[in-house]
Amino acid sequence: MLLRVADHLYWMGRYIERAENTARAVEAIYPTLPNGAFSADREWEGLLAMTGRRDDFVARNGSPSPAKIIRFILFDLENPSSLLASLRAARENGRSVSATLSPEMWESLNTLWLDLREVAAENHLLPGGVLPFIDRFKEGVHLLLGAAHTTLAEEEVFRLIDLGTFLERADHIVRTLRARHSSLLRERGQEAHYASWVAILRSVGALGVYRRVYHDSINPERITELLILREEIPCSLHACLDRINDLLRPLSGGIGPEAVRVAADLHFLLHNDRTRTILLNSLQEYLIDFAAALRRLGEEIDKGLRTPTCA
Amino acid sequence: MKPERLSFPRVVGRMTTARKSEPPFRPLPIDEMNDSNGAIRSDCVPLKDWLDAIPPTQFEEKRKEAERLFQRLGITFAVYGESAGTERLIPFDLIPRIIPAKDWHLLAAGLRQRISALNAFLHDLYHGQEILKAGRIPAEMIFRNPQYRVEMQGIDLPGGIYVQIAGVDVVHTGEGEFHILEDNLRTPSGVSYMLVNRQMMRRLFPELFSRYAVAPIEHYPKLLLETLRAAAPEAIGHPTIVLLTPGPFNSAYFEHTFLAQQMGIETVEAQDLFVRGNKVYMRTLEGPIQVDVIYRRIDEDFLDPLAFRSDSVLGVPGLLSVYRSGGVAIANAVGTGVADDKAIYTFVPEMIRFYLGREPILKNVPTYQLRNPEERAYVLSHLNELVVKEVHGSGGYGMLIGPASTVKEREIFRQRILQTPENYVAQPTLALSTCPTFVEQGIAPRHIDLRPFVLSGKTIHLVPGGLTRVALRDGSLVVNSSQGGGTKDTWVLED
Repeated sequence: MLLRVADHLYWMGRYIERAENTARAVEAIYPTLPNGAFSADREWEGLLAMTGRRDDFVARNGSPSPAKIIRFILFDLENPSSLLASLRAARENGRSVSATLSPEMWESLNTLWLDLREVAAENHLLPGGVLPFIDRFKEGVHLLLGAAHTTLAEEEVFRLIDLGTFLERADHIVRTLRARHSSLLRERGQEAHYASWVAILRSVGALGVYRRVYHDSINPERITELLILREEIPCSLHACLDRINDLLRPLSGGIGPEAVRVAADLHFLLHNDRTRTILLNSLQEYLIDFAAALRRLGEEIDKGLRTPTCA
Repeated sequence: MKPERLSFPRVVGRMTTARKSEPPFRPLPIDEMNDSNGAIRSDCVPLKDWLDAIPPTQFEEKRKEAERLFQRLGITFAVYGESAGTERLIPFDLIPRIIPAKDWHLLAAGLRQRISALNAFLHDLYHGQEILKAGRIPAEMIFRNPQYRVEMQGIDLPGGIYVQIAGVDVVHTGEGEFHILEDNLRTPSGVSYMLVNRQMMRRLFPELFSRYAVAPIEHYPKLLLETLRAAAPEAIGHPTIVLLTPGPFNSAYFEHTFLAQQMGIETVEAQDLFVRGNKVYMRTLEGPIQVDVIYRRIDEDFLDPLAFRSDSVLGVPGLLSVYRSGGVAIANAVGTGVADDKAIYTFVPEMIRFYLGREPILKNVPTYQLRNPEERAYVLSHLNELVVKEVHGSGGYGMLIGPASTVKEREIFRQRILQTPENYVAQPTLALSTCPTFVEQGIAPRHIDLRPFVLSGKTIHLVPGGLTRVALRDGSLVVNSSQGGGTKDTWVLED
């Protein structure tokens, strides 16, 4: 596979996952919009802060309101991290390698972009338009991934898309935990944070998994354990790093050994005996370190795919 | 060489006759469905019956369905000069254009003949130059032509083939009569639309295919792959073939990925290739892989910044030197442009006589060379009747269509011609045939042309058909997609 093609596939995977993460994050707090148990405004502002684009938002939209934030996060094509902009970026990467994707995959990706652009144009001002938009998006992503599973001939194409997917997912888990880490600290009152705990689990698509694993009420220790350490579920950092390691190893010839080394180090962090104690005592520091290491891993992969190792 | 020595009695003589017999206004075009008495041609009766039986609203639905499908498949077209990333659809007309078997036999024979002669000409030009020595083509037309590549002199190509893929523009001008407009020997495009239009018609109107025996075209990618294999440097058993594209912003990008996918080859951009040890490699995850044949869909000026345009960031440094030493094949060859500008075009019939010893089967459009003072004077006084074209122009840009022009436009062209006469040629306005086409007011005749694709490998192959382009505006003769033209499916009927 051409290195350029590998690069586009990897980024296609990242952008699709990024769009999905945005959809989940909005869904997680959407019901709080009319009159939630806790401040709707604060929830939405928290989500805005998590995108890291608050300044851009304020410059173009003035003071935040839930409706404006939703528009910015889902529909605004000038916000490069909005759901629609991520989907556009996924589609542009896909178009650059449309001969490598199966025709079914390319068509479902392209159709999803064309349809959502249209749905967005009709719905972005309607309060009732948000969930139908997200539903249409999720449906389209499932079609796309289904098409990938049934039509892709090359294992390698999958591997690169997955690499992007899991790196992006790990990044999202860390961001979500960081944004809400204060609600996870032990000394805080329990019930007051219940809604926030549910929002964390829903943001990473782990609410159902939590219930199946623990059969019990939600508490912060278990949330951190689940989302960071439990490797058997698909939405934990540990599972993401397992996958990233498996995916990277066979690619080391093409993209160089550095990315593989960084990923192995990160993986080791999760197996360290001390991790459990650290998690409970200094969660924030742990997450900051993890985020930095993930960023370094992303840079190494980019370097490997973009700087030719030959000639 | 002085213009006086350019007295090719045959060419100029023929042109003089054409000049005298040319009616002052455009001759009446023939119609693909109705004969000159207004009766439906026998081959078109089933089509006409079918058209009459379908309610207009159904056509509108089908048209929308086609448009949606083109969008979803990403069969879109970027228009030069519009903001980057603008993607448009080429309008697709639902009424197929029918070519009777006997017309196709004539066309196919004529095209084979023409492309054989052009390949022989290119080989001769870059070797012994017998045709120049024989005085059949003025040498200055070659050596002053920027498309003549001195780097190719004496280079032997596998099979002596320069033009693997030609997309020849043909117009139907009378009963059983076709004229060649352009040979397009560099990087002709449009074949993907030929293939996709057929898929679309089969999907939208399967019932119509039961009324006709339409000759198949679907094997084009297979023939193209065989043609490219035949271009490989000799002694390579399983050549690695790639398609070289300028990238997603090129107007023909859809076609590039479509063909690569159909042939199962890699689409590469110049940055994916590099030269080492007199071979070309692509950069892959598995390490460098040697490339044997490059089906290039980029202009040769951008192939190698060391050889052609040092200002260009595009291209593969060192590619030309590998190519010249036979380490890699490029299709079409470097240097084919010298045989397809609008001035050399005039001499193709002469090439057929010289290399094949035959009379041309298909006609050239009589062409005035504006570098010749006598012809220039005539053209300047008849601008309102003639079509003036840039010698190196393409895509329907830089053209004056006399009968449709304003006084101001003619004045602009007059000035341009006087400034650089050698850059222009002129031709009488041709009676491009018309074909029933969906327009806003219903079904109406619109002018069409045809671009069949001629593949030259071990032998010459054509699939029966080509891309039919249609000028959607009433009276317009410009069929180029960049200028608002559309396309139709082309049905060559089986015997």
